[in-house]
Amino acid sequence: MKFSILKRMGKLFLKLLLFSAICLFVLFSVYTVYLSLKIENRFSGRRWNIPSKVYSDKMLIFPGQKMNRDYFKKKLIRLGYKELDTKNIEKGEFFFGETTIDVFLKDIILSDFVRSAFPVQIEFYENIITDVKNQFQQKALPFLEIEPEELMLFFGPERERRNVVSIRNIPESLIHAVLSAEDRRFYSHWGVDPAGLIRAFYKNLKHKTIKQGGSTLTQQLSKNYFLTPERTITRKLKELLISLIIEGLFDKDEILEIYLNEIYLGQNGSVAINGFGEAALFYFGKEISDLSLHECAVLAGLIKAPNSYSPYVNIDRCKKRRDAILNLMYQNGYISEAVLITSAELPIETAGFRTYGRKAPYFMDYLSRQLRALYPSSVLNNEGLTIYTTLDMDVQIAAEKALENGLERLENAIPSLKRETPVKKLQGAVIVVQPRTGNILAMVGGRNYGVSQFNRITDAIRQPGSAFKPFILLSALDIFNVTTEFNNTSLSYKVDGSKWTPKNFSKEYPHKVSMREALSKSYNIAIVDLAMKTGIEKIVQDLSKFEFSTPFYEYPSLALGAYEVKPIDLARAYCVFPSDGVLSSPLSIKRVFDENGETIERRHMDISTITTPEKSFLINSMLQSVVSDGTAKYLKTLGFHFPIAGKTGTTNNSKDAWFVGYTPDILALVWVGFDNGNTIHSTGSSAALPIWADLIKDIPAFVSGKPFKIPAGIVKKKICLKSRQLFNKSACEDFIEEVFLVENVPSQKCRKHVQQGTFDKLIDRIKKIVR
Amino acid sequence: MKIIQSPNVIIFFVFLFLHATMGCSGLPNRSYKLYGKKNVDVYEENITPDENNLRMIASLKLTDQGKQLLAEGRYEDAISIFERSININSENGKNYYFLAEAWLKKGNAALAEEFNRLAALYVKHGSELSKQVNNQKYEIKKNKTEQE
Repeated sequence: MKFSILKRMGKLFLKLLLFSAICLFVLFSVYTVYLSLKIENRFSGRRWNIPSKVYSDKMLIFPGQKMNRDYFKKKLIRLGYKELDTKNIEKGEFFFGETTIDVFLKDIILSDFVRSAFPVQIEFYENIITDVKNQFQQKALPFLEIEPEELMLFFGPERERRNVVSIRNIPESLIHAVLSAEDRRFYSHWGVDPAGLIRAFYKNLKHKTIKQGGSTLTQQLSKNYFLTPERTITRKLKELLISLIIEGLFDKDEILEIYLNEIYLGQNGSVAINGFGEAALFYFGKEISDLSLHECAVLAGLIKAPNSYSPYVNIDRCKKRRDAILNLMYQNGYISEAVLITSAELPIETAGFRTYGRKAPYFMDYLSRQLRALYPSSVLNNEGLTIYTTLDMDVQIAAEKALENGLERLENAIPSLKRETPVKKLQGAVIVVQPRTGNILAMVGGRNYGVSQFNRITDAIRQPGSAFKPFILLSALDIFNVTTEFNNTSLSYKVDGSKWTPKNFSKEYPHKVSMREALSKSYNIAIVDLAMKTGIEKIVQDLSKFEFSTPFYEYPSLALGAYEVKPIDLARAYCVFPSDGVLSSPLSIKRVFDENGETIERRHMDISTITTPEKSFLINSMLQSVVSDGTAKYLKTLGFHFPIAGKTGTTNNSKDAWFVGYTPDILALVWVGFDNGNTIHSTGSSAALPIWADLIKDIPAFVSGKPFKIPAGIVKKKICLKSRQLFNKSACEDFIEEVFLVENVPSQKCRKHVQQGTFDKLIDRIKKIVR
Repeated sequence: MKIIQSPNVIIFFVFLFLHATMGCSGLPNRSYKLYGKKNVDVYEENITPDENNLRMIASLKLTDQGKQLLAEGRYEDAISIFERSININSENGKNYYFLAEAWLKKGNAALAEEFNRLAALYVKHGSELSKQVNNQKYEIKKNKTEQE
């Protein structure tokens, strides 16, 4: 009896066992499939997609243009040209002579630009190009196009933050180094290396901890799958399962490629360095394909403990680790003993912590934002887009350099501006635009992209302060003219029940000033008087045409730039003045090609007239006074002797310093300030203006030196120097020439001098002597 | 002898000499005016002969390229070239005229109108081109009313 029950129980038990085994198996399979899908999703994106490329704009060279030869040389080098010290140049080489530059241009086949190679000679007189000659055809060229520069390679929209590498571009020595360092039998095991495991198990047993990983590359990858590290058995088992799945989904080369792009290799401030493409740039300033053998060993050695073995942290420890890797490479037969010895003797030359950086990173972010708005991620994730942009690398480099130097100079001059933590440091931003077309030539969204990726040009909202005044004046020109006088003595206004009294920056100032003077010397009191007399409502209405993305309110403080704006909007608005009253849309993308060379997007000048050429000219004229004898006259001492219009801006408590300066050909906006609104103890002229000056000095090619054109509807009149009314030849002593709208020319002849009798003139003379 | 000893005469000759040498340097001085104030430096700059002319030539060459593309019906390519030409010389009225033509052909009368307006600012009065610009203006107006 008992036996049969036992037997039945036994059978039942077996059935249950079988059943639960099947259930477990099914569950396990489902889980595995689920995991596989997630892993494939997670890692697939970065597999050998044909990368998308981003290019700068082509460079145009023509006779009559000034050139910064130093910058041109660096550009040629960036484009892969080699410098020779003789004139016997071949394709892809150049020679810099005293008064000539010879370049043998390469064959270029790009979707947007095709050119067969030919040698060209550029002749100079001082720094001006006098001739551009095609040496093959012995023909003078009216202009020459230099091919665009490759700015970035990226795989899809999120990947552009990393310099992702394809297995085809990775040097063999790096692969050997990594395998030697981490997983010698990578190509032969099945995800887990039993020999390695046993060794690790033994070591763990010895030290009574789960210390050593014994991890294969696959296992390391699977660890990467989780966001937080854990050292429990369940986690270990999960990782094991994932390793197996990875090995099942991808082949060895694919796994290696994923690994080399995923692995954590250090820290650049708040930004993690993931992948060897980034690491090559960060530590050695090189593309991965340019790494030397011992540099590969350095990087491979970092994997175990990047922040310990980093050459930026401890160069000796780094060297020891490198030598250990080199030794392993020798033991594994990848390198000979001779190579081992010579490599170990080489010094480790890093790029230097500061010089790391992608090209125009803020501009890239802005670009990718635009692309994401244009295309679904399926298109972007796919391969082979070629994107031609408006960026000019020379201008970008000049802007970045000017900003960096300017901020440092400021910190040295005013030590209280120094900050220990990089994130809290004094910040700045620069944007350079071609006013007519709206082309963005350069964009620097901050001092150091590695520290802060916040793009202050496109995303910061800051008070413009006096940099906003030209827009107030534009409104006023419908009613008043440049000689109209306004009160510059203390006036109070009732605002929402309380009293508001604007103050001038300087202690001493004239009691009455003309519109022109109010702007050039930036008198707050007079500008508010002007604004109130023009009508705040009218001003706000007129402002709407400029398409600022931030709101304005009908309060007198609007005239003093109290309402925050985005720097990009401010720059765009200023572009109206040198463009005959035309507002253009900012352009960054010119053309996008798909992998088959078909154009899928093309952007052009998009303009609309929002004010007249005449009123724009008057603003240009008044802003030229700012530079000639106003708050920006410092530019003259810096050697700027061509027509520049500009406006400085300083906000309350010096929280912001602005300078927006332009010629008929180019406009640049500079902002300086702290992200947290601390005072910078400086003005627009002391903080922002020098940065503008440095930048423009480096890019003479963009400055034609021509004056602002006077449109047809402008009338010139002589104005009495004293009364600012029409000059009376018989009565007034001295005059100045002023400009007016034809519909707004003053008709009132100078009353001051005409009415003066001889007695009054005598009193005047005595007054003069006494003063 | 009295004349030569007179300081004014010496100054006069020095003045003459300076003018003569400046003339001989072969580089024309360009000065531009600033309005609104007395005793402001009127800047002079030495430039190579025809600097602005050379800019205009380069710009016009590009315009010619664009014109060719326009004739071939390659409107997008033409527009890109005209835009490049504007960057070299923004006072080249032809660019604006042809841009207006291109946009008109592409059916964007609003944008054509904008460029036509700019063309009118930069073409010489009474020239053949100014007549063309005027005609274009009416064409655009016609086009706009038709669209509405």
